[in-house]
Amino acid sequence: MIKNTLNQQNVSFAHIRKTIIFGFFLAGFLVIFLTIGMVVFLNEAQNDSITKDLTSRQSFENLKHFLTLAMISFTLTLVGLYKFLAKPIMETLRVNFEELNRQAEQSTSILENTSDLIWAIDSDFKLLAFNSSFAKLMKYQGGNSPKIGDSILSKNYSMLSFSIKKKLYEKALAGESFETDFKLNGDDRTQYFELSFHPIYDKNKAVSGCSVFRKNITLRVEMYRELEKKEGFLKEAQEIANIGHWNWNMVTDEIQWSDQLYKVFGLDYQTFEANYEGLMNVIHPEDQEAFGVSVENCLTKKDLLDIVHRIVMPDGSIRYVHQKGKAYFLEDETPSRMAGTIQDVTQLEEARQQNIRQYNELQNFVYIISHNVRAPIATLQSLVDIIEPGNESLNAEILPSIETTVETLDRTIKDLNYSLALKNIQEKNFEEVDLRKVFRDIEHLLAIHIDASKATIEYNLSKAPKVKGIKSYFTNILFNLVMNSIDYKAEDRPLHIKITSQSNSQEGMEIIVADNGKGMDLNSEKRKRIFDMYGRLSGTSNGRGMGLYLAKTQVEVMNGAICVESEPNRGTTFKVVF
Amino acid sequence: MQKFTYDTVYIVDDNNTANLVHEHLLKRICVAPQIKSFTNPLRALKKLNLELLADEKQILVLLDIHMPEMNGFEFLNAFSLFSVNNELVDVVMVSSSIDEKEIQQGLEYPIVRKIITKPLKETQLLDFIKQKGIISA
Repeated sequence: MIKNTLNQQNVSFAHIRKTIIFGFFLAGFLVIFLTIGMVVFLNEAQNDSITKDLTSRQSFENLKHFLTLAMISFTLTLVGLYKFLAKPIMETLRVNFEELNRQAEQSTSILENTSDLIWAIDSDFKLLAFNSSFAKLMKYQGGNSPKIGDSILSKNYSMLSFSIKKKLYEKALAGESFETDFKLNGDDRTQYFELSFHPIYDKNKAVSGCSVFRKNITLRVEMYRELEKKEGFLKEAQEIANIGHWNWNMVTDEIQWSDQLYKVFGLDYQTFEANYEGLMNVIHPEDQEAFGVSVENCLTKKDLLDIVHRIVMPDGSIRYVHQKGKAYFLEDETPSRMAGTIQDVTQLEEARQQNIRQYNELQNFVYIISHNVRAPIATLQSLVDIIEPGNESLNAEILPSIETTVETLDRTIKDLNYSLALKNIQEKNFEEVDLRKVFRDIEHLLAIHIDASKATIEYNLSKAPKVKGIKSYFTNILFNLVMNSIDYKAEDRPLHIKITSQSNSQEGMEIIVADNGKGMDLNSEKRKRIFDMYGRLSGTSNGRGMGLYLAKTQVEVMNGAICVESEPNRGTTFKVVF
Repeated sequence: MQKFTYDTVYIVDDNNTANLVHEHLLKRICVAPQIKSFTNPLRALKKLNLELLADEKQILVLLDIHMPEMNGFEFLNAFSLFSVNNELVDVVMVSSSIDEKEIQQGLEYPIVRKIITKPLKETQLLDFIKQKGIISA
């Protein structure tokens, strides 16, 4: 019906034109007719009054001439008026109307050549106008062509349920402009539509009706659904691989993190602001510099970012992540953004470190075999070599050496067996061990040595008196550390051993055994060797080089670490960390 | 009068039995008139430096690699640091372990003439001395 409204404008122009021309013609004919009538009448009158005086005849003649002249000049004036005034006005009108018409045609074609439905109603819900798409659909659905003046609420126009439909129109008629979506479940395909309502205002700025556009957005919705599905797959993949991705806009210093990345970092995306500084704070302090260098190389040398580093989780635990990334540059070679992935590789990294540890242990084992097992065999071989048959005094000298060497060999093999057996424990067998009880046992075992060396032992166990592990292992570890202090006491002063247990910064605990003994000068080689099997640092003591090795083995199988600090003539401090 | 290749032999090994065996071997092949055994390498080092200061003597050191307190390489480092005259000293390193790395490390010291894997054999010692004779001739 929009089309009809627009055509009426065209009709009214032709109408105006016709009226003007008709007016002019009518006026012209009227004047001519009147003039002719007048002339005829005057002629009649002249003939009737022929007998009358000449003067009146003369005046009739004069009047006739005057009328003829008046008629001619009036006709000329009319013609002139039409040509010089009415015609240009009509021409201007015609141009204006044509322009209007053209614009209207364009608007119409825009409104008509769309699959979108467009219609308007007045404040009484009566149809004011609609485009042909609307008409087509209504006819298809209800069988009847829509008519201006129909109530939009009637069931012929049943796109939505009555109550919803009414509510929406009322909202628009209340002066609100809005959009709403709805879906139609078709036989083979669900269709999605967007309805936009706009109130129509009259001259007094009061709402006189509303216009409605209905747009089919099925494709858009389907594409969005498809995208959502793909995003879901991506999310799933990230979750399964525990891999997250990020995108760093360097201009604004904003980092976009995928959901999984927040999970990898154990952070809440609502409270954590992702930027470079925030990322740096997540990275383990000892790895921050290496990470910074990697990023720098990525930006300056265009290297790929590829680094495994530690992160500190909000609960303080430490995990390993593998970062891979790439920088993107503007035309002038300045970096604009970086993107990359972060994968949790804690298990892998722990397995790798376990491998290294086991490799080192194996190396140590091979070393022990090649040296400590082979040494007594070599000695036996040479002892047998120097035996001289008949030389009784020599042979008598050699025999005890053979005996002790065989004993050494036997003990070494027993030591090896024992240290291997130590490693076969499981975490589920760990129990809570009271260190105070452990030290009571040790004092009992070492009573003679403590007395002989006049040692005093100071305990500070109250801060962390209990530890999880295997009691006999703790007894052995701490026995060896105390024994070590007694073995290496300074000659010139009484031995004092200070034993402390406390919690440390990494939410673990540590046991410290510090003495004021003779101490030693530790280089990195010696620091390592002190805990090796048979790795004695001193030739003056009677130690076999097993005590600290076993202590270290037992600490490590209980997931701990042991380290040593020492200063000559000041004392030695062993620290066991769990 | 018997001719010896060296004036003194130092045996440095933390294993008493090894020292006993090596002493016996050296005596049997008459390498030097004087043989001194040490289980403490530090003491051996002190004695060796004193002896070199006192007199120009040809000295052979039979040095074990694996010893507590000071291993063979540490002994060599300390020795080249303190000794005034080490052209007179030959070192033969002995070890029960057959570690390629340690052999390489030992050969880096010019003073080390030979590295022998335990057990030390009479023939190995004789070969070494014979070679030494050719060099000094």
